[in-house]
Amino acid sequence: MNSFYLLIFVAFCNIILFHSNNLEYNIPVKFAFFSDLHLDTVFTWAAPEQASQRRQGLRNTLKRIVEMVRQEHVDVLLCGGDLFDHDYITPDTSRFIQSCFEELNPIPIYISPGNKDCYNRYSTYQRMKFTSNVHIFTQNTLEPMTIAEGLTIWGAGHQTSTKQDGFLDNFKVNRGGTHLALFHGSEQGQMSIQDKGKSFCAPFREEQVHQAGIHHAFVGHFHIPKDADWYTYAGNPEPLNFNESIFSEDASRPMGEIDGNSNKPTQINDTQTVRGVVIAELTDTKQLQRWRIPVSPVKVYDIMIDITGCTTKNEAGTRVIEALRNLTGIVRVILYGVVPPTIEFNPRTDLENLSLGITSNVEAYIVQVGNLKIGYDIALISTEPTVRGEFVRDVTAKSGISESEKHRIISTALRALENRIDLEVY
Amino acid sequence: MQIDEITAVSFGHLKNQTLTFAPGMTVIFGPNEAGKSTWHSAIYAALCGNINSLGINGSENASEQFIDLYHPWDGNEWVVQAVITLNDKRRVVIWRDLTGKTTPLIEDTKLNNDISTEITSKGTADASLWLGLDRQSFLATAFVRQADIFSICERPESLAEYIRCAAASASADISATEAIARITEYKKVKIGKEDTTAASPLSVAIDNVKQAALNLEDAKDRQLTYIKLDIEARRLSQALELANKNLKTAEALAAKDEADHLLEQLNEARELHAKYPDGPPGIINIYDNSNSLNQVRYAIASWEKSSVPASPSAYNTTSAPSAASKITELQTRLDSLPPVAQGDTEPSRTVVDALDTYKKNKPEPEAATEASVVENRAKIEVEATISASIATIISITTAGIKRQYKRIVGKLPQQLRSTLIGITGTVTVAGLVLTGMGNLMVGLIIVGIAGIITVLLIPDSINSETIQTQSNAVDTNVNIQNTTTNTASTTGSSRENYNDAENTAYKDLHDALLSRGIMVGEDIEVSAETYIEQCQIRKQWATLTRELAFQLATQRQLEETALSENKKRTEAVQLLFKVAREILPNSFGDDMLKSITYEQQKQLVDQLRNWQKQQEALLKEYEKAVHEYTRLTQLLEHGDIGDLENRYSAARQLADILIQKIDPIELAKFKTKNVPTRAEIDTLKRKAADLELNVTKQKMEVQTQVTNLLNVAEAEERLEGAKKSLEHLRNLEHTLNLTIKFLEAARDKVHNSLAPLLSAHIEQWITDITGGRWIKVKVDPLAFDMEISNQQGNWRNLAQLSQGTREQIYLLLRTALVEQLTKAEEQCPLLLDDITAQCDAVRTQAILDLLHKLSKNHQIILFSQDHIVSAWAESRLKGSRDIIINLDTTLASV
Repeated sequence: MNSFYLLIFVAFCNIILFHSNNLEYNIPVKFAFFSDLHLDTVFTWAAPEQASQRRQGLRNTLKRIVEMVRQEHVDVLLCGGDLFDHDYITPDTSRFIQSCFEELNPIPIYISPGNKDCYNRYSTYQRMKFTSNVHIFTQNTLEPMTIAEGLTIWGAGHQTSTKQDGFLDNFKVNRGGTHLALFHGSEQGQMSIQDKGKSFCAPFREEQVHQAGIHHAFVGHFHIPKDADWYTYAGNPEPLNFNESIFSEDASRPMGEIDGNSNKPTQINDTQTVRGVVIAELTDTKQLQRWRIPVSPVKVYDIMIDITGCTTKNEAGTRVIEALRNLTGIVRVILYGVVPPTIEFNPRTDLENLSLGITSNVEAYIVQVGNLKIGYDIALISTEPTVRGEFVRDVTAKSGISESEKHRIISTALRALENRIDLEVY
Repeated sequence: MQIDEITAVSFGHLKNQTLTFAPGMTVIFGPNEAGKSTWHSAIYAALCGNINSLGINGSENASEQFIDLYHPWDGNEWVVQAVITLNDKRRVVIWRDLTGKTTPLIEDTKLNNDISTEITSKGTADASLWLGLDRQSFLATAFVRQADIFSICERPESLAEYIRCAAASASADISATEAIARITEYKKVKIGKEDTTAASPLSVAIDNVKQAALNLEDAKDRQLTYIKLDIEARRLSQALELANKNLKTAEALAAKDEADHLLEQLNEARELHAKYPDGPPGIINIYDNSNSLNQVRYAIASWEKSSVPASPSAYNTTSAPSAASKITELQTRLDSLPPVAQGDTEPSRTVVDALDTYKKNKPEPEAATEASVVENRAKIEVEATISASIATIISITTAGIKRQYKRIVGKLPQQLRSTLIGITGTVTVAGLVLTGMGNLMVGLIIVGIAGIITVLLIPDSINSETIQTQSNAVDTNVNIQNTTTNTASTTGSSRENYNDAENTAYKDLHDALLSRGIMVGEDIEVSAETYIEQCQIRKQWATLTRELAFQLATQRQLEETALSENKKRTEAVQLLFKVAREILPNSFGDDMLKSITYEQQKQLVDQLRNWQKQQEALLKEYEKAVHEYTRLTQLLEHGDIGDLENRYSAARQLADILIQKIDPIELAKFKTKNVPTRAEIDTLKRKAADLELNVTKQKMEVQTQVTNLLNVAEAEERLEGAKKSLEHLRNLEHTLNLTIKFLEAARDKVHNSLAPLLSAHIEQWITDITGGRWIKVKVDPLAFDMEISNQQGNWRNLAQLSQGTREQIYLLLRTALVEQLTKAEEQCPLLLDDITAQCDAVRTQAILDLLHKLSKNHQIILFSQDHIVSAWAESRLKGSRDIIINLDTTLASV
């Protein structure tokens, strides 16, 4: 048994009291819920080999989910959609999914296709041969499946990759007992804090859940986990991008975007909720207990490194190596600071293949240039009566050009006037 | 800025030595190795800072060289100090530890405060900032080297080069034009052109994007093709599954049906075997039996077919009554008729038409007495009425008579019937005669009654004709009388009264009659009508004759038929009798045959029928037994009952096995239909086989397509990578283009403003330093090429000037640039290092004179080992603003 995810339990155990007294199921039922694994997705930020490794990593995560389900003695496995990216999935991955779910037979598995793995006429789901324990919700309206006496799960699936109306619109359960929902959708209150660029599909509001008679909804689509009273977003169990780390390594540098003025990151996440698989247990005391188990050992970091004062590329490289020394996973290194004009340094190419040392467990890293400047005394140069001075004045005064572009233009010219051959400025 | 003094606390070989400079011109004279260069560098280091952080020429080697040259030979202390006076009268001490261990001290001597922050740049204090320069530009601007002067002498164009470089940046590394060219070249190498055939980075990047896009599209197409093939393979597999399921179901049902069928056969075989344990049923004389039956059947059928006798109580088996009398009678009548008169039986159409024409054209004849005409007309009408009445009566009664014919007349003996026919026929004729004679009522009554009776008695086929014949006879009789009557009623006509038309009509009629062989009498009309009547009479007579002949023939036929029927009947009864005697035990004797009544016949027939039924039953039973035994033989053709039981058992087992594998719902569906036949099962097998083949083929296609698949994610990542590279190049191109654009604009602007300033500055001095030979200066703003002109307006470029003049112009330019490049509020000192080394005495003198003049505006510090310089200085530097420093003496004082 892999001690990694057996030992790691995040202290976010929520006990939710059901909001209805009409609970009729007789036995405790344990669910495992995950979503948005995005098997075979693209990794445009990675080099080809790294991207291939990441895709293999996603497969490994599914295997760990399967193993976790067995070890946790889960009764029902729920998948909230986007299990794979339809546009990219390979036949081999398709077979892989089938075999994983077959291993869990006869544990029931319910899948609600999302916008990326929608159930259309070319859907890979239609061509997979699942064992009988797998049920896919193929309709774009909620349909019931009885899990146990008095316990119903209502599921629906996307049939197109584009706009999908809300599954809870004008919906109400039509029977007694306990009702759960499983679908891929966008809770409207979450849009402002979820990943930018996310499509707004199958919208719903939290109050619609209980208005429909649903006691709890397991929802996929948003990658940031969310444990609300009436619904749960599992989030994606394996990081896909650099803002999806499980947790922050450096408390002084929490995850988030970089403030261009201060060179300091700003925090955008309102929670440090762990990504992974959600275990939800309906107890015999009619409560839903909920906790998360990470299933991916991969960590993803954004690290900002100040290379101010480095006079050579070696010095800069040394600082990067120092920063990566004790890290594990995938790291995006963001360089910032001010380097002297005399430095001969291209951060894009000079830091590509650093020898990180044996203590580093960094699987891959990429280097990005943040607020990194060449330390020309622009103010002083702009006072010169020379061509150089005039040039700097003209560029600085020009509107419609971004500050970073101005910096590049000025630095390029100054380097040229210094008779240098490395004119490209990062 | 004015440099007051420099103290080498520990610099190079110098220790605690100070040089004090004059505000105007300071000549520092010393031979080689006296320390001129050391002092030169000490001044620079004191003002601008540690050479390590300076990075002279931007390279680490230059700083290492400086350290090697000027680090104190002994001890670790490396300190210089400078005292300067700024234009705002502040006297500043700059104390600097060149090792960097301590921070420089920049102090206002009057206020005793640290003012290093005013000139701190990149972590080090740099006094050149007060001049608006930096370390590099100060070096390039304020320090004039021997090499600089030398290059002017050797290469006049280097003057313009220097100006361009200085104009570009005070550090004078490269001119703006050269910088632009460098950027352009860089762009050419790093980006290249988009539409060039050569593989430039940009075109390669564009091609990479295009290729990556094509690859991605290709990958997606292949994937879609694969998906479609896979969908089809799945569909075919499902169809095959269904077909196999249907086949299995059909086979199971067929097997079940086969088993059920075998069970039926087995049960049947057991039953039959129990019935015929000893073998086939006993053989009977089937032939005889069936032969007898056939005879009985035939005899009965023949009897039934034969006509029922008229009187059931008696059966006259003798021959049919003689009809000779009737035939004789008819023959007699026929023979008695006179032959039919020769002539027309139908009036000629020509005569009829001519007569009509004649009648229309002839004059009105003298009328006969009205009474006689009326009488005649009445008679004619009566005749017509009679004819019509007879015809009507006959037609009405014919149908009814026909119905009754068989019932009434058919039972009469033929002879009697013939007699009655003769009597009634005669009476009918008599009635007609009476009618013709005028006794209408009586005649009609007699005719009617006799006619009816006659019809009843005479067969259908001759009834109507005979009556018609008789009717015609009446007509004939009436017509004959009419002829007479008509003749009487048409007297009095003569030709004298005819006109031409009438004559023509008469002639036509006459000719028509003659053509028919008719002699025309006095009255042609009468002749014509007579002719017509005679035709009718002949016709009627012929008809009567014909009818009698027909009756005769018919009667003969009837007689024959009757005889034949009678014979048949007799034979049937005889046969019946014969058969009965052969078969029935109490059959009748021959004598009974002669007098057997119809009822007896019927009884006999009934007995025969009963016998027939029994025999038929027996026969049927036998046939059944044979059939059953045959059936048993068929059932056991493969062996005995045991074998059949084994076959059934095996079939049942197989059926049960197959049925168990079938979904009960599928089974129930099939059960509502007929059990599939072998042909249907074979069709299902063929269908399944075809599907299997198609599935295999399709799966192979799918597999082939799988091997052809490209990873779409990787293709997309490569496209993104290519796009990023292209975007990077585009951005770089954009940056470089903007850089060039701004640089060109700045160059043009600065050059355009600097050129006139340089011209003006040099023009201030040119007359003086050239002794009036040259008066005007022109500086090209683009390339800073310089020309001077004399009073005559002749322009010369620098190459055409003397070396001495070029050197002086160079110095003037340096000072002009110093003024342009430094802050207006601060004067920048000029430090010159042995610049006259390559000059002759005259030129040296000229340079020194110029420098002295320039020292009015700029502090000039000249290092030289030239004795001429020393001599000149001794003689010329007399004022308080100037000073001569002899390093030999100074060293000696140390």
